[in-house]
Amino acid sequence: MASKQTISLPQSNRVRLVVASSVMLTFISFWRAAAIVLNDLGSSAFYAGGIAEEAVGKAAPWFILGVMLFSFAVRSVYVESCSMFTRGGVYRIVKEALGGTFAKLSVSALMFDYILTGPISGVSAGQYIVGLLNELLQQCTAHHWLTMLVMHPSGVARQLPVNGTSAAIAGLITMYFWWQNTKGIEESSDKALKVMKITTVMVVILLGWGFFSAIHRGVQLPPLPTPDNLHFSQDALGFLKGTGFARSLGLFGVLMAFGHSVLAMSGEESLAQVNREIEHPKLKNLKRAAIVIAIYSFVFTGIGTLLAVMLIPDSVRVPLYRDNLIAGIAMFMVGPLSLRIAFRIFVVIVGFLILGGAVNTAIVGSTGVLMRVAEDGVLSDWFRKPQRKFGTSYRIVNLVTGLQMFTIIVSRGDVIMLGEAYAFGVIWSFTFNALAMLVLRWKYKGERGWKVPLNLRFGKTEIPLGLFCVFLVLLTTAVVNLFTKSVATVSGVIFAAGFFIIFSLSERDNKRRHDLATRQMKEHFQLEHQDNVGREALEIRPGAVVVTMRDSAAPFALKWALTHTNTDDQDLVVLAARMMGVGGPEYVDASEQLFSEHEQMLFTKAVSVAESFGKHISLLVVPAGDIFAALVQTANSLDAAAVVSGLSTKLTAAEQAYHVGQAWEALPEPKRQFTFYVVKPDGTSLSFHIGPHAPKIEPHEVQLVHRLWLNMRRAPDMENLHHSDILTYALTRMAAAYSRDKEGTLRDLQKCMEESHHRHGLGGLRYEELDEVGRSYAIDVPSSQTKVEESDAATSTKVN
Amino acid sequence: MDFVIHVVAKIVVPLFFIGMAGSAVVIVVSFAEDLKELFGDEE
Repeated sequence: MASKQTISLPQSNRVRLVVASSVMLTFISFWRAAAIVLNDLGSSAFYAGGIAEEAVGKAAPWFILGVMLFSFAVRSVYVESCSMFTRGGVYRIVKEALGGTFAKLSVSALMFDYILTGPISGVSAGQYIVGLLNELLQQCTAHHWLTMLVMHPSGVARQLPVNGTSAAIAGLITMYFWWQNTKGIEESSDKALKVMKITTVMVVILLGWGFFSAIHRGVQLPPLPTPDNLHFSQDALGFLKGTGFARSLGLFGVLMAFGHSVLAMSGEESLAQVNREIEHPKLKNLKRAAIVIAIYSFVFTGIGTLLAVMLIPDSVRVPLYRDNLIAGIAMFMVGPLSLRIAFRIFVVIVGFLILGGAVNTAIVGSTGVLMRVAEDGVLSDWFRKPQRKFGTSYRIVNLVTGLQMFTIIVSRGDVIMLGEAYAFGVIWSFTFNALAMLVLRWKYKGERGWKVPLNLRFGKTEIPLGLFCVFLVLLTTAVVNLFTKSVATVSGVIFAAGFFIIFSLSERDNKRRHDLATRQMKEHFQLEHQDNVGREALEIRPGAVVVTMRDSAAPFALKWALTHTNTDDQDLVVLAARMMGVGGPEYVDASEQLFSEHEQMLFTKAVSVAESFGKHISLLVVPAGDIFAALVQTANSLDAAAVVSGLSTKLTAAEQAYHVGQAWEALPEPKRQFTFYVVKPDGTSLSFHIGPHAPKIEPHEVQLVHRLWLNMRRAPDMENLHHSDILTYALTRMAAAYSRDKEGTLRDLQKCMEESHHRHGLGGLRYEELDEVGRSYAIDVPSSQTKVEESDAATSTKVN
Repeated sequence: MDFVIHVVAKIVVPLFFIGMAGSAVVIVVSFAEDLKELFGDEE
């Protein structure tokens, strides 16, 4: 790939600092991508139906179904945007098409959506839990169980205050994920996949049992979505309340009802966020993920809401089960009460998992969006400063969770109020995205991976009729919502305006600071921008040492590496990973990479430490989605023999090595092994071999092999026996035993390990804790540049 | 407010239903195409 050289002539007194453009990522299958998006999109099934029915009446399920069908079209817009820009989210697309001001406006609307996703999901989880607890209290009272605990002296069952308790639960969930995000959550598609598997089990039971119950009871479909069947609540009329127009809404009522149901498709933006991580072939897998998401949410949210209205009697559906509709379905299935309560408990557990996950997604997603705009210089550097201990963007996390906690307190656990406001962000971020895509059809006429269908061609002119129609629906719905969702309009406009002002002022201040920072960086460093990292870019030899550096106040890993490396023989590269966060891009153009004051301090410190040792270093900045993947990919690209890292504040050295080993296993061939050193703040270190390697054998084990060889060689026809034959035979026997009896073999192996660990003493080979001049520190320059072409299942292994 | 909403309704209602008709075609075409991708052979 061609490299982009942006800056300045080399000067001998400046250190070469290479800034890579390609982000170091790990890739996931379309199933995992779909699971991540569904954790957000699927969670709305737990509350959207109740909110819509409260607003528009019993015909609501048809509108939810309509919205879920329409989400197929919105999905098409997102697929086209992602086929143009890997990170096809609202911010990037709108910025490309309509410029910075509109981008800031659209991202403000998106932030409103994300900020509200947390409280609405948390409160909804609380509603399900409280609903279940109150039901159990009533059942206990009815059966005279634990009467002292569950019954008032008057004989009535005790009941928890629903909204207050739900708000408290939402607060606890939010605080839990605040702490997790402050510490730094490992992004895991595994968890999302597990949650979706258990959710799928629930959905299958819900639909199967639900349809059986509906047929068994001979229930009727909800009234059709005609103007006559729409009965809007006073709140749902918004600013139209009291007007003459509200008395005869006609077809306008259909639009209003659609607008009140639009929150059911919140979460589509997550598709754009997860796109960059989808494995090859990207577009094909993106479309697969998108269709899985669309079908799943149509079935779960759409059909689920339909079943609720069919099964739950009108007298209790809105008053009792409005905020926990799926729990209501469970209670009105045919079958014994105990079975229905058991299923309701299962629903609550699944709801807690998926809604709790959505709270986290909201924090992670909004943090990702704010990080993205911060990287663009739109948000002040102050927000980007990493947490001292954990290295996370804690100030952004604090801002997001602070706003979410404020929303929870203001709403006091009222899902309807939250739902009212929620739709504002959802519909306006979609509208901006569709408008931007429409503009891009004229602005960029070149080929794209995929286009929203229904394009009419007249000569050389192409009319994007399909895309225009989707935009029309979104725009008209957004406009109608301005009139009918007063809470959303007022709160959304205030919030979006607030964020827009913060972004605008921040950007102006940042531009001034960054101009200065860039000037200083150019004065001190020889900046070079490269698409990909390679030895040529850094002008280093094979077998270099890569040192990670995060905190300018604690450069102990760099000091340790400088102590142990002769930079005349071996090059030393200081690596600073620039974490892109969720929703970050796959490629960051040189012009978009702004150096924060923190990074400037980091590089200045690295150079001054190297100068104090009188040794030369190279500096490298790599944008990264995952720190371990970035580390391993960089080491491989540079043909490095060793990677040195400081001890993490969150992980043990072994855990760090395990993650590095896992990332190494995920690397495509060809790849080379290296030694991974973890340096503690006191200067001691541990070393780990990454990749397959010959194990070191203790002297008594060599003795054992030799004794066996002596004895066996005495047998007839064994004169050609070698020591290696004994090892091959023993390993083959072990492999056979393991395939026959895994548990037994592992038990025996465990015993063997325990015995072996008892024999440890100084000078043992298995466990090496090195001091500053540790004897087995060996960052060897390889004699050849040959890479390892094959690897077995090895990950990281402590030197043994 | 009555006058404003009457004017708005006159504009948005036809646009919404025109948009819905076009979106329905988008949904059918893209759904068929994506189903093929989902169940189609690996390249």
